[in-house]
Amino acid sequence: MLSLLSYSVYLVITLAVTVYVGQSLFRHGRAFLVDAFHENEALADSVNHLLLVGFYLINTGYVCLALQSRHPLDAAMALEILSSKLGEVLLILGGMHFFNLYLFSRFRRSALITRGAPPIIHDTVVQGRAS
Amino acid sequence: MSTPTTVAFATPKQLTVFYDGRCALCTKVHDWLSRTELLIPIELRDLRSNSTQTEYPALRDAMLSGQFIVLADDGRTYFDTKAKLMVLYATSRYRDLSYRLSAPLLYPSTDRIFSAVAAGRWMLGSPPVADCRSGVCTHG
Repeated sequence: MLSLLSYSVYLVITLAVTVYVGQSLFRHGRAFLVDAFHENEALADSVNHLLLVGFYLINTGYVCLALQSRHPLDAAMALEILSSKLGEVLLILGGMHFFNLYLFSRFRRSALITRGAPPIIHDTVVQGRAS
Repeated sequence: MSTPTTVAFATPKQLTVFYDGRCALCTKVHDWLSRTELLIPIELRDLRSNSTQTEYPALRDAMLSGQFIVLADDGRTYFDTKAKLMVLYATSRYRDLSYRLSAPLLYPSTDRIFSAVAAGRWMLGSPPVADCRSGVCTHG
């Protein structure tokens, strides 16, 4: 009974955090990708979605693999196991999160370097010299 | 930005850099730029000179407020931190750095540091001896 309860709490928390981090990356990473792909929103959305799917697959896979554990003898041990498992998953999620951010920046920089494009978008466009 | 993408990301053929000829740090940058290998030619103009302000009426207000300005040959204009990143971008040695500093993760820090340096530019270096009456500054 104790094991079942621990497993349930573990699954609810880890999956909820996975979805939260994934959605956060999906929402806020879009701007990076639109910039990286030179305002090509369709391509940016497509890559963003594919990254999200990859993120969910890797994290859900890890959460499932990490589920298996020793059989807790008492409530304290159950809590200990739950806590260490949650810690592992959160660290993996954090690592994945920063890896995604690194990928976004990398996409952007390589796209700009390939085109020899300016590093930033201009503030305004003005007519040059007075004739 | 409402301008078309092709304009925003096209490689400029020339940049005109408007700098403050009365600030020591800016004239040091002027000297450094004239010695540095450039990927894009740069014309340096003192934004405090009357001839520059007359020649570029659209930028006069920005010049009067003392903003560091970069104007591309096709009219794209960059102010302050963006202008400084464009100067780095024009150099052979620091182009890669300009991409790194403008990455979304680093840009806020870049902006803060560049703005702090710009705010303290009057305290950095000794006053320049420059003749900018013709609009193009000469030092000596």
